Amino acid sequence: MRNLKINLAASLSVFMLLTSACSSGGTGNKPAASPPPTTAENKPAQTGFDWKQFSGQKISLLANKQPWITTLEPHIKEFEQLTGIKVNTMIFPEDQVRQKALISLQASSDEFDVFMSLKSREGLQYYNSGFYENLDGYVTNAKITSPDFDVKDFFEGPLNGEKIKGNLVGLPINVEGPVLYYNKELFQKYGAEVPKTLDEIETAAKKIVDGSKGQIHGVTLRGLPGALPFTFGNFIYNNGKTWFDDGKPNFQDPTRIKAIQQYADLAKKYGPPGVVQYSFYQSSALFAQGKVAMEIESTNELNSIIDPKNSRVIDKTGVVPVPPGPGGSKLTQLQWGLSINKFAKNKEAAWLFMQWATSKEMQLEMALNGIASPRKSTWDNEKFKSSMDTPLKQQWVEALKFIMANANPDVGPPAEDQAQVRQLIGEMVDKVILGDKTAEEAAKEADAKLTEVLNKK
Amino acid sequence: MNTLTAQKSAQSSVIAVKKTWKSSLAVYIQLAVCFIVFVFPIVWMLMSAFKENVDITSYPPKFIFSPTLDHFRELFVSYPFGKYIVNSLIVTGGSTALGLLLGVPAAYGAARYGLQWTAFLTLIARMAPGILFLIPWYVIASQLKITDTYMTLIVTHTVITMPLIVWLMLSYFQEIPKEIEESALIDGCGPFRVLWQINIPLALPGISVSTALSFIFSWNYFLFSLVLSGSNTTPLTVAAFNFIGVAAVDWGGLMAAATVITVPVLIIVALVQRWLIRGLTSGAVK
Amino acid sequence: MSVPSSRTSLTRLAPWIMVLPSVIFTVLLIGFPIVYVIYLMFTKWAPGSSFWGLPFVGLDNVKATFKDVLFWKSTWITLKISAISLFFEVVLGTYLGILLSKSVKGIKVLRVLFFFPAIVPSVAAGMVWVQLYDPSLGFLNYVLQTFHLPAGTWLNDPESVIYALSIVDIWQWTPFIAMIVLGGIQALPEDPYEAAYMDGASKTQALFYITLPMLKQTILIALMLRSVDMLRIFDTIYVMTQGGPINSSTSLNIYGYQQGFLYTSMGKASTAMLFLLLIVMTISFLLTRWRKRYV
Repeated sequence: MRNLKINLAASLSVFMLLTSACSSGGTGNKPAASPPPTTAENKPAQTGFDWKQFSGQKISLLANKQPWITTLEPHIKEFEQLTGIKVNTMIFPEDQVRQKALISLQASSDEFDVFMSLKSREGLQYYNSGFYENLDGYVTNAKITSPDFDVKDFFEGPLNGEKIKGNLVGLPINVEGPVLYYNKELFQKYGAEVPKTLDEIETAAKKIVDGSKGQIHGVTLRGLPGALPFTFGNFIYNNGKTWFDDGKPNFQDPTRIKAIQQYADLAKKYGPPGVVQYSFYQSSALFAQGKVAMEIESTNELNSIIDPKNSRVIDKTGVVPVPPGPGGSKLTQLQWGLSINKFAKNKEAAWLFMQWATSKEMQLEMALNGIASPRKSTWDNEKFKSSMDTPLKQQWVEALKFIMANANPDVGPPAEDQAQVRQLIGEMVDKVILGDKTAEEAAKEADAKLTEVLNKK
Repeated sequence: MNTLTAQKSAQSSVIAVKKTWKSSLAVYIQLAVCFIVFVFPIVWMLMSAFKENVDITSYPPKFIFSPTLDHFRELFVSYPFGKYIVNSLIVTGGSTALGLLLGVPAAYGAARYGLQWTAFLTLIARMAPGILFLIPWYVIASQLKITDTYMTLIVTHTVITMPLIVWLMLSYFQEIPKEIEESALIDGCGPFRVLWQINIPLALPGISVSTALSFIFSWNYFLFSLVLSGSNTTPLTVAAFNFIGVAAVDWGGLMAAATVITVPVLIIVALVQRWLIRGLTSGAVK
Repeated sequence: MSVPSSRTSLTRLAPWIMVLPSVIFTVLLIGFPIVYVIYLMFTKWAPGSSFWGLPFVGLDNVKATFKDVLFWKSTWITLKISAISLFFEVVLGTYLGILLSKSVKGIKVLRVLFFFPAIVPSVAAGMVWVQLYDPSLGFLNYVLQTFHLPAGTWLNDPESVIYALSIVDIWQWTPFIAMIVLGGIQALPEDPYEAAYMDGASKTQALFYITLPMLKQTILIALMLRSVDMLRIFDTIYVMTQGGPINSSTSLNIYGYQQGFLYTSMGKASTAMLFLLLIVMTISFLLTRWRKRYV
């Protein structure tokens, strides 16, 4: 994507303009040219805000095993020193966290105070069940919110993503979107071209699989039913469609059938065996081992792919946004957020933790480790800019900017029961991948089942 | 081929045929094949736990490698596996103790006074699926806010241990001749003293086996803790299970976690193996 | 007996004092939940709703469960995986039991080692087999490829997942059956063998005409013990596949867990679990009757 290389400042200002154009009300976006006001040397304790007010309390954090927590965890000691609050962390794989959180919250348990929650997935369901603490009153309360916090520094998209029916129920900890990682060495070896359109992914995959006589897989992507929509959705968008037609499922539409077929073909013909059980953990592990030439995954996976402990492809990887299709390029943008458990005992101590974890300093620290920041100030920060010093990291920044500029916030179709709906969409695509059904048959079945779920009130 | 010399010794084998080296060899070959099949996965687990991640998936497999303790260090440093072990010991120990407390007198009472129906009652627990109990327990514990407490886990795991102890001990007490205690009863000892001073010492081997088996079953039982434990009480099995989600990334950690939950059980079995197998099957072969 | 009366009343009460705690415990923790699950079957539970006084919904939950394709699929999966596993466990377990009854050197140690799979926690067994089965990096496919056989997708393919899970169960429980069979062999009388060998019977004939018929009882008991646990299979499946891919390995117990704890349909979960209890009881009853025929 060298042709997309524009200089940083220019692209950033374009990007600012775009985000403020999408914003639903002037939150006073700073002009892009203004110098970054914060540096990591500013320790929050200097502002006279009383960080020690809840000293002695204990809070628990439930988090998914993801680069974000891996990077944050070593710093938690600093928070404990700053506030005197003891933090207990519980880190599990994503699926387990989801089950654990639901089982605990349904039991009105206070076993965790702060938890990672994907609003675009369970947000509405949790909100309606009353699991989230409403944070609007916290942000405006000067006694417990440091003047440094600067909620206006968050981009509109991610912050709005943490609101449900207008109420703030979380704070964003990252932004991410779908990209195509590719192994430059393998591409060169087998003479494949970096895909510029959706169709060309298959061309490249075929070239590599044929060239290596099947020793190397062409592409890995998500197959685990609940996880699949995040990567699959882009095939629908870039073919010029949305998930549903006027809130009604219609996967039998020829364009959507084509998208299903396209995705399933990649997985079936050029994917690793057993791809129907793959989520990002398996895909990235396989890519990092150099056993597959391409990986369609989130920008968030950069950290795992270039982890020196497990990776053999650190300096062989390139990354581009998921390429455009006939419908152009509309890519899913999502944010993970932290929320407070409604049943927690130490909500205010938990709020201090959230502030600290999403503060300018910490978000910068995260960004230096490949976790894209939902704060504007991070992107302006000189330290951050100069840390993006490898071709891969520069490509990654470009990709993120492109995704944020062309953002599409709908990870899944509009439905409260996201878990069920995504499961069904995933199963539909998986049946085609496995050859159990043709795309038409699978789509027909999925439409019927989805309609049933949507009508179940 | 077969010369007949019926062995009258209490040999374990009933096939009283003089062994020729050929037939012995055939037995050994079959045993070797079975052995590889049945013991290999456990060996693989132990081996992988001490290998570098890169070596676990390198083929042909390395059977000679420089062992590393990194995965275990990781478990105990990055994760509070020490605390998980303590949690497991508390829950397993507690449910075994409570099971003995309830089960031993119950088994004796049922065996001596013809109250076998009470032992049958506990059998429902062996029939019903765990989720069946778990649903009401979860609903009640949520209401009372007692999920994630040791007490809840100990009491629920006693549903596993108590029936087991009752059934094992029932057959032991039935084997103890009545005459032994009748003399004591005539001497004016009450039934409780007879139980405590005569029967329990006599049934000590059985009690040891019951204790060991209860411990193992309770230690291995996963489902109740999966739902009812929380951050304060997470036992080893649930903690280890969480490695599954990141299996592809960290095979070594996964294998080390599996090893940590397996080794205590293997040690117990090695200690009480002689009585254990008899105990496990004694209820069956009557 | 001339004992003081306070003593007699205590003596008379003694048996009850001994058995009652366990009975009370059983009623509270095992009996009551079954009653409550029946109550949940006819009511609508929601997160945060109280314990008692739930809104009655009549047969809605039962209807919803019986209309659910996945419920019947789970029933079928439960029966299928049980039948496959039990068949091989009994056949291989009998074979291994007979093998272990031979008095060769070192057999005592081997008996203990062979028993290990049965006491490895299911969670650990599942974790190890997930690695062995891994389609790209697993040991099993490496072995297959070494012998130029096609690699399997094992757990990651709806077609093969049940067989892959059965293999794990067979691996884990064959030794258990073998131990029971071994115990049975050791309790066999010697006279029939002596008589048979006098008549010039071969070892194979002795096995088929004497040992196996005499072991029938033992094998049936082993089958019964195992089938009760097998039908309620949860741990290994949950650890290895969580019921996937695309619900091709949801046993009824997994189905109950998903409905109750992931989709908050306690009514459906309760219905499914009572149904499973019924299946377990029916099969136990049939096996008991079958056993009685041989007594």
